[in-house]
Amino acid sequence: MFIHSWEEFAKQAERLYLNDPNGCRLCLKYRNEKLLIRLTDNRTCLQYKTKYVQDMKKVEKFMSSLLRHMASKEI
Amino acid sequence: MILENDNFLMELTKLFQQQRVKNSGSLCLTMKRYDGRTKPQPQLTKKQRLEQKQASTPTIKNPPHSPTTHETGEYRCLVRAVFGSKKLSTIVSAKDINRFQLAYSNLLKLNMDTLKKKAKESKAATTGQTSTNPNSNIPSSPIPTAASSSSTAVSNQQKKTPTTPAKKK
Repeated sequence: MFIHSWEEFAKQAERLYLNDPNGCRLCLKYRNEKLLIRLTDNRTCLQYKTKYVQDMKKVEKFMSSLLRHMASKEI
Repeated sequence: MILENDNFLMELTKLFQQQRVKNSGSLCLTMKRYDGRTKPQPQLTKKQRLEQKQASTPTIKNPPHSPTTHETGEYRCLVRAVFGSKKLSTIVSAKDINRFQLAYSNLLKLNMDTLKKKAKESKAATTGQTSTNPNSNIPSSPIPTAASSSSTAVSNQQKKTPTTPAKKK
């Protein structure tokens, strides 16, 4: 399922992840001039596609917070 | 191939370089929470499912995997990178997360540099240029006359601005 606005993606992705932190994975696919970010728990799949550097910054912020959460004690 | 965090980052930069040289292929990065299990949980067979349905109350008492994760208490993060047939992976533990996250995001920022810059601003700039272009085209004919009258550039612009709306009207 493609989501076109980043805010919407971040919101839904966070909800999906918190719903089942152990069963979720985040994929980043980088191909020349395109970046695809996907969060899935094998039932629902959220995708966001971008070409621009600004979005890259947001993606990176989101990803690092997720990375932190994944390696933390929180459930 | 499971690597140490630092080695993983080094190899990842190599993958990015390869991608740049080849100028094709996609690089996939995956991250997920890692709780020590290396095998997926086996799906229940039909018999087991039936048993679960029949005795649904006792199964709720002992959910299969949550106790093990709670015992370890701490989660780690598994990061994978795939480019073509090359696969790398690393496991980041909570104490290394700060260092790894900084290095990782820096690395991504550096290497994902073929993305376009400033989408909205450039769009706005192009629209601004297109909107100004017809204006500049219209007074292009009076410019030589104004230049011949040896007036300053500022006065030229001042002359242009009132003439264009007048023409539009």
